[in-house]
Amino acid sequence: MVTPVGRDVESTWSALLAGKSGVGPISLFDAHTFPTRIAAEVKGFDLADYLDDAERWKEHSRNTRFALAAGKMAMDDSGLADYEALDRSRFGVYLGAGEGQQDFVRFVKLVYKTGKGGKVATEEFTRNGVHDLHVIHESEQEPGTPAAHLAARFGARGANSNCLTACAASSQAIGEAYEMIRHDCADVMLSGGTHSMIHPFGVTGFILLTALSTRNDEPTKASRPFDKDRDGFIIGEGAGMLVLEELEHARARGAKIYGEIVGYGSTADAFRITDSHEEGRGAIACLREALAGAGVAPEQIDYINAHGTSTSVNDSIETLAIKKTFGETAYKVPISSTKSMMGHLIAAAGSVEAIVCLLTIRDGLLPPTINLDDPDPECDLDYIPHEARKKRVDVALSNSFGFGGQNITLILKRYTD
Amino acid sequence: MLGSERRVVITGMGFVTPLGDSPDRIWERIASGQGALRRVEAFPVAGLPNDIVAEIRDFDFLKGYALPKFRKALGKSRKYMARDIQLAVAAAQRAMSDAGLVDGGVDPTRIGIDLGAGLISTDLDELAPAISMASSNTGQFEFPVWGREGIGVIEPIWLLKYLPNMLACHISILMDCQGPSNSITEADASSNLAVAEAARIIARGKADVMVTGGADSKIHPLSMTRMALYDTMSRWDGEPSQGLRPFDARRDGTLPGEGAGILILEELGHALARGARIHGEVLGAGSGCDAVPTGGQDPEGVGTEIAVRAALREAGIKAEDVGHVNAHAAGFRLGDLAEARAFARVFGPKAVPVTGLKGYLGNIASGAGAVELIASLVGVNRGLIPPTLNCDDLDPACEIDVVTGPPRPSGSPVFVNSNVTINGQAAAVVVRGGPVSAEG
Repeated sequence: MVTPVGRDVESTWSALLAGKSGVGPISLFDAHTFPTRIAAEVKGFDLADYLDDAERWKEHSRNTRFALAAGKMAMDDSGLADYEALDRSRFGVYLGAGEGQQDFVRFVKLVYKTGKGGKVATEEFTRNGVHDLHVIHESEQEPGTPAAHLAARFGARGANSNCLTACAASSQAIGEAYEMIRHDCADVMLSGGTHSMIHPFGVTGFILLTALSTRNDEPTKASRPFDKDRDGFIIGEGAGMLVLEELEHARARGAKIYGEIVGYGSTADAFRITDSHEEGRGAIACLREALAGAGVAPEQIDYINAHGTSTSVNDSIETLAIKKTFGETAYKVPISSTKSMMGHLIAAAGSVEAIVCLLTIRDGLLPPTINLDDPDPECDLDYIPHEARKKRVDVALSNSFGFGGQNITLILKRYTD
Repeated sequence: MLGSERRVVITGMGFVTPLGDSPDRIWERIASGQGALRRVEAFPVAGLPNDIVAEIRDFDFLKGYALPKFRKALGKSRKYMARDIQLAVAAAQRAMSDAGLVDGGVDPTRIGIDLGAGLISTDLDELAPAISMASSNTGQFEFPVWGREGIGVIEPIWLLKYLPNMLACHISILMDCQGPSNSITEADASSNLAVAEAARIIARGKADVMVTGGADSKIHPLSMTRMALYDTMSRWDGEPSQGLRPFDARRDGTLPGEGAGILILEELGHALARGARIHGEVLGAGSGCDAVPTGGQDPEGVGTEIAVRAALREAGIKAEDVGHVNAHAAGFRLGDLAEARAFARVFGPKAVPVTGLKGYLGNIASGAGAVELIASLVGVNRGLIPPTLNCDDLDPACEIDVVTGPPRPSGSPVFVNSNVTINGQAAAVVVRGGPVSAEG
């Protein structure tokens, strides 16, 4: 994975365990007068560190470049990159990639140049647009393109899909990729997400919805899930990729196995465009479905990676949903929001958080929720404040809730023969 | 089929297309060879390879489509909806009416939604005042002015109008669909991928009813500029209605369309128990990708071949039992040929009737698969294969039997609906037209 706190899995993981925040002033464009001028950017990223043909991708979107880097690391790690027996028609890609970044400077110039009295003269817009806009920058805005790039790069000729359900997208992609393997549509799926909304229109859009923290003077303290003084989320960016494989296929080639996906819940709030259901109806149904599918009781969940966005509504409703689903057990299961450190990777968030769950199983360490100085009275569970914790994890659960009411829960389990 | 005891049938269809919004109307237009490609009326364009589009000219979201019980809510929520979303919400109401589900009767937690959606282009005039404000001091765009003043003059809900998951979200709210909700955004393959996923969700028992399909409108100055940049737009300078020419020797590109196609899928026992009318059955689906490392699709159509073979395998249908293939056939030199090669390999050269409907409808992009699937279903349920418009002179390199002229009698109600993106991402669905019973 590529995240605001590390450019690969291990560096991200150590930063999370150390409680390190990746939030700072926005450097990707001049945001110094914006109501929110902080974000969790991926720093020092150079695709040449991952690929030998990085030059070919220099005009491509951040989504594509993050996805190629994360995809390369996942494929190398899986050992499939040189596995010649792989049936490529049974090797697919399912991503939850966001839309690519609008080519802001070219676009606003074009709109200004072709505007008259607050309206755009469309003949002028199209006439100039074919010269002024950049072909790759435009085509890369199509959310389905990273899935094609990864398929081409890694020779995945099988099923290919991309979903975009806001903040739930890459969890949903993993869930559906898992179902495709179970349904015998593929043996191997490269799945995950990639997204950056740290661009002028992305930041503008969320500012208008008053969803972002405005704690501009204390960037590293701005993302504070479950804290009484939380005031919105912090946009992050990056990519997380996993190689999902049918068990027998993996065993036959002696693959290293990080864990098993055992539960997948997917529901809709069907309530409002902008708000979650007040009583967490959809989230509760989602958690229950995932637990039932996994055949796991709440007491068996050793760790929850919360959606935990640091918005007022999400954190209290997510807490409520966990309580209603888990009953008294809710107070015993350690929960953390790694968004306190990485910000919210939007479409890519769930994929990175699923990887975090696998690492808790591997290492027996739980990443903290930082900045939880003064918990909201409505948020009274064990959120692993400030510092990482040691605990053996056999079963971990990850929540992702998307804007518009899509709820996704994944349950990951230690693999045993 | 679909690897499950649970069979998935189609119990509702709703659509809004440039050919009309009822089965009789679109069939009348298709059967009489009346396509919808015309010079664009919605806004003037210049400097593009073409100005021919397939528009829905008289679309009236509230008067034309709002059901009485939803009219008030839709009057309010319409301001959150880009045109793509309105088309989808309109078609979904038609589909729910067709399925007899408007007044409920199904457990809301057992109804889900899975739609194909596109990259929705923002309304330029919504941003123009803010951009002008941030640019007028010096003629150069100034970020500090945008941050201080520009943002404040944009509608607060601006972002929400253009998120591709909002098609599904609005419909799920309107119709209380509390089951799974997904939005597939893989350009022209989107709605076939969504139909496939929706069918599998029912097959695996996670829902009894799924709202699926897709919608898109590429008739927008920015979307059309993009088509010109990608060099995918037809340069046809003759009669506008002939501008998009699937498999024709003189084809040289595609043209934008717009529309929505929504299907209600339902588990067979559930449909029979409530006495639903069954239009057909989804038998299987498959997907593949032949994106090449240097960009674009493989000229041999390997992705389409993998998708169609996987779909037939899942459906348990032999190639010779397929009555026709509804191809993507966007009118591309390379893309149409690649598809033709794939079909010739799977079915044998000229062995199966192939049709492509974009000569009538333009390219509805993320909505194309669903609208075209519906058109084929309407056809086979009349015993006919919808023909291809504007394939006047079949490209001899395309070794396929293209259905042209009047509708051709259909030898089998089973058809394959196939779509592929310019990046070689292919998705195919196998459907059998009705009637469907518990036995057969």
